[in-house]
Amino acid sequence: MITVWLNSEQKQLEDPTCLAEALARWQPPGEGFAIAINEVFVPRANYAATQLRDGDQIELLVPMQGG
Amino acid sequence: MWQLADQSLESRLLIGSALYPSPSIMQDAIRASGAGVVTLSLRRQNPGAGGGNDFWALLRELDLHLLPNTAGCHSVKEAITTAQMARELFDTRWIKLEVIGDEYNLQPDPFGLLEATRELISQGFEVLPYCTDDLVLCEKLVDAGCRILMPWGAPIGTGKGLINPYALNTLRQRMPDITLIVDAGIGAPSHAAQALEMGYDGVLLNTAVAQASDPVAMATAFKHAVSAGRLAYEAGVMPARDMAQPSTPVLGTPFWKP
Repeated sequence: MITVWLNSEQKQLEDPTCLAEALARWQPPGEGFAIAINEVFVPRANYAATQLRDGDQIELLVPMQGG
Repeated sequence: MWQLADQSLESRLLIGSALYPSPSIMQDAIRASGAGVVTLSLRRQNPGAGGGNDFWALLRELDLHLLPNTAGCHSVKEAITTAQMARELFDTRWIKLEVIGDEYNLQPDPFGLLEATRELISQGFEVLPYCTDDLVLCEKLVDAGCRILMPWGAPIGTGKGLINPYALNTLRQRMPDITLIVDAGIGAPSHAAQALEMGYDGVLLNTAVAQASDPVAMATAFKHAVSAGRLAYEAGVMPARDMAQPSTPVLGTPFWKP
């Protein structure tokens, strides 16, 4: 098992798990989100090829009001 | 019509999507403003804060050009990553680049802003930097490849208007070919008109409309103010002078005695 943080919330995953598999489990809202891991942007096309590692900080952001 | 980067726009007002009393008032106010560009942001999903898919659907109904921001970023790395995420999520290469240097007045960090600008332009972004009115900073942002600059009128959310008209006017005079937009600090329609009269290409505002007692009416007021200001600029505002000069003809003054 590995421990990762999704928007600062602790999550347990089997090792290995790729980002696409983790997202399938967490079910984020539709297509309307973008991801960074450890402050590095991960393009959608790379989700399946991105293996998650113990301690990864995953940032999942959605559209929000802004000025 | 005027040109903002590669887009032709009718209105010279750019408007924010935050702080409205309700999503429907946001929609109505943005429509009433006539703005062709709306700013928005990215945040973690938070059911209590709005945003997310519902907000996204409402905004898409407006069918405006999107200008995502990097609000809240305090480092170059954060700003670059946020811009990359925004580009994918909103399918636009436009970014309103904010790198905040001071928490008290949300003043842009000029050094971080320039560094992030260089990197993002190298990655193909159209960077619209939220900057101070410092001439040298603005010149360096242009040297870095910015076609558009967005100096502040006053700190974000203060509504103080154009607190340094001399500096803003200097930018306009020294950078006749750069698109200049006053971003932040606009509190009243008269402030927006002043910026347009000065020759600024547009204004970007949010709080002044969203926090008005009647946001839809205020959005309409800003729409007219921006149009009036631009029309006045094109018409040519008379130069100010110190001495009074009568407007009524002196010739034929009654009761005149030689």
